[in-house]
Parts: sequence; C-alpha cells; structure tokens
Amino acid sequence: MDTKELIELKFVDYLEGRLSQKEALELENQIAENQSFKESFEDIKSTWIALNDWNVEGPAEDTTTRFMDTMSDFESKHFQTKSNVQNIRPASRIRDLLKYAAAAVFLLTCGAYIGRMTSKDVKSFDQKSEVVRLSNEVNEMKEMMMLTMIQNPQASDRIRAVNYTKELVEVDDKVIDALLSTFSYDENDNVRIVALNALTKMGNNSRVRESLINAIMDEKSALIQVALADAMIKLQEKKSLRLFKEKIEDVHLNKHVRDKYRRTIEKLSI
Amino acid sequence: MLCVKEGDTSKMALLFEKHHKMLYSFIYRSIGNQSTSEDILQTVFFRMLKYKESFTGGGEFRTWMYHIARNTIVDEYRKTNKVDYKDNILDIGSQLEDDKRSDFVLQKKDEAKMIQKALNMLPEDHREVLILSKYQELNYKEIAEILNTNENNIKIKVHRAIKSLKDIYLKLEK
Repeated sequence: MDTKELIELKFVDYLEGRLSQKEALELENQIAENQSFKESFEDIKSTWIALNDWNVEGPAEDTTTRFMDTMSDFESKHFQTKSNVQNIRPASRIRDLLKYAAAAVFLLTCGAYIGRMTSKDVKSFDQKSEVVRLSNEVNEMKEMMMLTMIQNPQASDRIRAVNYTKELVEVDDKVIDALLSTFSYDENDNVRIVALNALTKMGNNSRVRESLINAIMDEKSALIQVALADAMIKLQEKKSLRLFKEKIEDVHLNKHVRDKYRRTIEKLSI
Repeated sequence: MLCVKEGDTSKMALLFEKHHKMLYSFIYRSIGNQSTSEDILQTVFFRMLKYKESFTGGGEFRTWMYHIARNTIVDEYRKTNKVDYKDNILDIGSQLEDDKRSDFVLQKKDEAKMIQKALNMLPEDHREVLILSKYQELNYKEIAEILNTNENNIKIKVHRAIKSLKDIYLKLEK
C-alpha cells in the first residue's frame, strides 16, 4: 500500500467525524497542499454523500404483530417439548389433558358425522335439523374448551385457547368477556397480543371496539401499545386519533411507541 | 439477550421492537425485495431465539445479531436468488411522483436509482461493507467482528469499495 492510499484511507473517517481534531487538521492540510489528494477526496466525498440518497422505508406496519405470532407458536412448541421430555405432570394437568382428549374425540366424531350428512343430498327435515343441532353442539364444545384452557397456568395453553376462537362459528358474550379479560389482565404479553389480534377480528362488535379504544390511555406495556396502534389502523378507528395525539405529549412515553403513534396518526388522518 | 438466554423469552419482543427497523434496512439493502426482506427479518429473530445459547454475552449483541442476519440471508436467499432493487426503485418513483415539476426532485430520483444500480454492480463483499458502515452505523471493529476479520482489512475494503462505486457511478452516468 503506497503513501497516497494510506492518506486516502482516512477520508471516510474524516467524513464520518471519526478523526481527532489534530488528525482532521493534518489531513485537511495534506488535501489542501496536494492536487491529487484534493481530487480523490472530492470523488470519495461526493460518492459518500450520494449514498445518502438511498432511503429505505420501514417494514410493513404489522411486522411486530407477525413476530409476536411466530413467538407464540415457538413458545407453544417449546413448552410442549419440555413437558414431553419431563414426562412428569401434576394430576390436575393429566385431568385437563384427558378432558381435552375427550372433547377432541367428540369434536372429531361430530365433525365427521356432519361432513357425511352435508356431503350427501340431505332431503329429510329431520336430518337437516340433526346437522344444525350437532353443529351447535360442536360450537358449544369448542367454546367450553376455549373457556377452560384460557384459565390454564401455562402461557402456551392460553395462547392455544385464544386461537380456538378462530374456529368458533358464533362468538357469544362469554367468549368476548374471556378475551377482553385476557387482553387486559394476562401476565404474559404474548398471550395478550394474541388476544388482541383475536379481538381485532371482532371489530364489528361495538363493545370490543370501545374496550380497545379505552385501553390506549391506560396501557403501560410498550409492546401492547404498538400492537394497539396496529389494531386501530386495521379497524380504521378514527376515534382513537384524539387519544394517540394526547399520548404523544406524555413525556414518559417510550420513544419507539411515540414514533409509532405519530405514524398511526398520519395513517388514520388520511 | 442474556435474559432471553436464561429463559425469559418475552424479552425477545423488546429486542425485536428495538432493532427490527435497522435490521430490516440491512436485509432490504442486501437483497432488494420488500416482502422477502420482511420474511427474512422474522426468520432472523426466530433464529436468535432458537440459537440463543450461542450468545455468550462476551461481545456486542448487535454484532451477534448481524452475524445471524448475514447467515440467514445466505441460507434463505442468496443461494437461489439475485439481488434485485426493482421494488425500491419503484417505491422511490411513487414517493416522488407528487412533484414532477421540480427539477430537484427528479434529479434526486435519478441519483437514488443510479446509486442503487451502482451498488448492485459492486462485488458482494464490497457492497456488504459499504452497507454495514454507511447505513447500519457500525464501526470498523464491529464490522470486523461480524465478518470475522480485522479492523484494518475493513478500513481498506470500505475505501476500495467506495472508489469502485465511484467508477461504476461515472460509467453509468455516461
């Protein structure tokens, strides 16, 4: 490496302000005294500055939510593997599992029966009524499983319980109460976010919508605050605008959350 | 990260919130496709969780994170795909469409396209050091750790990369 290149090596450091005052002054003198250095410095400077033109927008708004879902799946599998390895379960856990197994067998049997009945050309009124009755029972059974599992001490079970709501044909007040309570009070942020996602899909329900809007002011967890902002964008809930505007004035608000709220305000103001 | 390693995986979400935008910009600038970059971003954090035992706590978390990101990009993308900045060029186009009358805006749009094109034509190792030093705000020591080399090598590589970029840029301008 020749002397010229040794000096040129300092150009980027100079442009980035990484040289000491003494080193910077020395380099400035070398550049001023030598036309060749001056030209190569100008070349590097213009290219280095040109790189600033390439700005990249951030990822999609729901990236955090997507990650939380992936995390939940990971934790579910992780907990399952752990319990399989340990192979020691308290009696209550075994009872729970037996209960779920029985319910699962019932659901499978009913599912197969309903499938057989609906796949054929069902003409009789009695048969049709039977299919409706069984469908209702399946829904009730799923609801019962969801409501039981959501109280389990394991976060992975509670996540599975919340995910069960995706399979419910009809969602009644009991399920909504359970989801709202999980979203508001669960100790695990991952469970809360999964509950929030499930509730967001029920955005047509005015009680759900109001509860989510009200949560904006009181929420303390930065993650849930971000997820709530995503939920409001999904629901296109303009009522939340005033609350987000109020929150960004809060000096204690996390910097990332404040940025997120600003972007949310922009999106909801369109 | 040490908390995550000790089993408190809920802290992973905080790490994600703190670093995901910066990491996304690195992935995007490395491969040039928005949706694939978003998928790779998720995979990187998932891998951090999966291989949390490999974080010794001796070095910087950021260098460990970029190390995993580089490996993921190689595994998930570069084996079968080429870098393609088409998406971003279009993005810039639509961002700046609003003010077609402004010569300045049009000039900036052309320059941004050109610099991406020139970067894309650099050898992969040169492009990588430029992205890490210019956009990711990493110092030579951190980049050297990520790329398993020494600081002086990185310094030389950054300098040569910027010179090559200038030559390519000039050729594209003609």
